[in-house]
Amino acid sequence: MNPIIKNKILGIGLLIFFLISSQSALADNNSIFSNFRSGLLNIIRMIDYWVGGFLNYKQIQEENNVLIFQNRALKSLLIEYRDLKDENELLREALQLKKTKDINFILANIIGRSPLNFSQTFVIDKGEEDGIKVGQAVIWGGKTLVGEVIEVSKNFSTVKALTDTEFKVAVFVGDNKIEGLFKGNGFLDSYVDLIPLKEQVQEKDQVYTSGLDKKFIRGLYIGEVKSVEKLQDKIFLDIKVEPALDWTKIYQVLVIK
Amino acid sequence: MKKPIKNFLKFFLFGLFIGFLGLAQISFINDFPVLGAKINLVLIVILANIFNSSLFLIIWGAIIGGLIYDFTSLFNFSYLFSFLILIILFRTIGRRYLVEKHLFLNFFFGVSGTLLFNFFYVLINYLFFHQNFFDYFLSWRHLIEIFLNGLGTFLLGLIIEIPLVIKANLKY
Repeated sequence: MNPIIKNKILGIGLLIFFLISSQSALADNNSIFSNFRSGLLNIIRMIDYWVGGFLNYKQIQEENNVLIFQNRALKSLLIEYRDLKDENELLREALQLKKTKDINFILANIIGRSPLNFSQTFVIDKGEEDGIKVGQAVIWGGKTLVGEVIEVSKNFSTVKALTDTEFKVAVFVGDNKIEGLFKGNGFLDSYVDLIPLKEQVQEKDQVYTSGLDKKFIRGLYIGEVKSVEKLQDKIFLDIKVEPALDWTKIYQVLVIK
Repeated sequence: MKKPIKNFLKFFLFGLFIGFLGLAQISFINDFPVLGAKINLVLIVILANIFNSSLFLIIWGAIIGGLIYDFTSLFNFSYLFSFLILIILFRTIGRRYLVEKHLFLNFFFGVSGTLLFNFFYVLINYLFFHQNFFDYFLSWRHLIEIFLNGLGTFLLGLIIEIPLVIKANLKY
């Protein structure tokens, strides 16, 4: 066969195969693929644990010692907390105050993760049928913000992690509740923008959602201030943030309904 | 060794190697970004072997690596097709204009290959899946990734060439 015709046939065949395969993959009844993907991610998790454990053995050991100590301290504080909780409920009852609104969650497994640099997104195994909607906050580890739902299909959804370059959310910084705008920066440090130079921001100050942008509820923890700098010719502080959670290391999340 | 067995082993080992690199890319490579950019391991191996005598071996590697990337990400086969388009383009156009083999060509193919691969990926996602990755494509982080992949391809090419050079010298 003429090589030009052969190449044309190959090209057209490739295009048709691409269109059919990509459309069938995006169709919603793909539970077999979904199972396969979660299986693949389990293998990746195993590799990640082994290699991570091997490379950071000393650091993990040190962290473990600190965590054991912290755990003991927290257990002792828990007793005090229970007493305070009982007292709080008693006082609320006496004052007839309404309880704070309960938040409903949907537990989801992460079944896919962006492998390259294009975006910082991951795929979860819950979709429209489970009540997921675009714009919902995704959290883990208490009320720590992980990202935001950006695309929803019938059975799965895509989540933009808070380190994505396009992620933005209104935040409070520190106990003084200084208002700012948190922005993701890919694999570089995330930062808080729009905080004037006169404001007093310290390292280790906590960063959490303010709810002022009506995007997420108030009080979702993001992380700690890593460094604060006053750059010349800039009208805002240069505040770098260390996110509390690394989205590449988690395999389950909660979506706030 | 009989040729079919040798060929099978070649395909099997290459597939295994690419598979391992694909899994490494998704798992622990996340921990080692350089100035905000990650290296693309599967692309590097494919580009370093782009003019390998067996086209099917390269396509086999692209299928394995592309599918691993696709299954763990947006699941729309855009990585796989970006790899295949890149291979076809380099094999058809590259061979026509390549007159002399030079070690630094690996770096050139690493750089141009990354640029083209990312361009195809961004274009496919933009045209078919309404995903806009042009922000990254036009960012300076992309330049770093291009350089990293170029360097990776050059080094891998160097490693592949060493045994060939030794072999050629031993003949004389």
